Amino acid sequence: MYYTKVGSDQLLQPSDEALAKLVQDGDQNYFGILVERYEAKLLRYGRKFLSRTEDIEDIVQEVFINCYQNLQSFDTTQKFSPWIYRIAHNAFVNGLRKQKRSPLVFVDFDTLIAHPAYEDPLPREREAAEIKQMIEKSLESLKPKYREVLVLYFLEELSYKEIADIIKVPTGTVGIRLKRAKEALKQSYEKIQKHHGA
Amino acid sequence: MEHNEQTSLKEKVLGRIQSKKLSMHPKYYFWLRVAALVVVSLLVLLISIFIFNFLLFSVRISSNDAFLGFGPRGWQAFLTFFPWDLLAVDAVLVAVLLWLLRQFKFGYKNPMLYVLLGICVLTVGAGVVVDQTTGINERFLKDAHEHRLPPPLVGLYGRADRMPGPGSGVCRCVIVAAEGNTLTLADLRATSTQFMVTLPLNDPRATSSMLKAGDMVFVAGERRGEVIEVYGIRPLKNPR
Repeated sequence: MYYTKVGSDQLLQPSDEALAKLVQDGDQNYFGILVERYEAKLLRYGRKFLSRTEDIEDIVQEVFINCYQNLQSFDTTQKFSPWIYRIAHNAFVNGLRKQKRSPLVFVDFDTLIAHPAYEDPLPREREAAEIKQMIEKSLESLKPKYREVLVLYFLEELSYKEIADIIKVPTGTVGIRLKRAKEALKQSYEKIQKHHGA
Repeated sequence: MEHNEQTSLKEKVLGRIQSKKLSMHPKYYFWLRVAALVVVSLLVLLISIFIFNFLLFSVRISSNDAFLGFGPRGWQAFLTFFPWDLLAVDAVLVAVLLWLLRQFKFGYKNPMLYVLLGICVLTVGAGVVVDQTTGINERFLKDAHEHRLPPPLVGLYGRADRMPGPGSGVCRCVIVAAEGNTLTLADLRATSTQFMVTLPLNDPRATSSMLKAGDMVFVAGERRGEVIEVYGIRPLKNPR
């Protein structure tokens, strides 16, 4: 079984993947630990898409149900978090689509061609505090495709590759989307600041 | 409060699992789903290749490709008589295939344009190979004429060698008589219909013996009564 260090007391806890394996083998109770570990994260992720708390909670519950039903398709040699975020992502995007009645987008132009996929870890560390503050204040004004990369990268701290797997786009597209999302976020944040200043 | 909510959600989910209202899909369910996706994708690809192969065959067998050698008016006629409906069906199939492939990792990990180009190259390439090397189209055409093909193939191949209507100025004809720049032709669609074709005087075929009585030709021009003023004429090797 795989273990990870959790918390400041550095206790060894079974990893998500190990828990998933136990559930796959029939130990259903371990699924409760996975629910505990991901509930707050998914609620937080959902709040970046939807505003009604009841809707978000319903969707998170559906995500866990979906996750349990499809758990046998999870490859326990891979990381669990991108897998569950992918289920959550689909559920929240559907929820957002229903809420806004926005049309189904088949082609996103930033997925058409290849973009360089170099992921520099330094900007995340440097910008994290500033971006997190902006996200809290002006995320709602952004398009969902920009919101999700910002949240997954800066709040959930996932890699480009993991985000690419969650939102099903080429890794380079994550980079270009993140760049545009940061620009849009900064513009939106400045507008809000000016508005408050005035 | 948060702890209560957490317990509540955890209990709700675990409660449903323990009451057997919720069960895990078995592993084979996912294998079957992937297999079904692969089969459907392959089927769509094969149909798309087949339709493209038929499209090429249809253009070739109806002699529409001859228009391309008849200058700007020929190009205009080629575009007019091109089977756009088949191309549209093929485009829809390619779009469906693109969507299906995006369910696989390689489908969404690669830029959409590259995957689309890959599908197009595969469809066009395989379509050309099937049309040029297998002889399947000729066999199906023969079977369609003998009403030995099931629908929808019989309908498809039944129209493969169709020509524009007799009034269009386009025909596959047999030369009854050749005199200078004037040819007397009999329409292969109805041999009782005869008309004159006037070649431009500077056309080498007007003065040479390239065309003679008994030759089959594909003619495109403007029909004025019993006379066609041609802008293109091409001998046919294997008239149908």
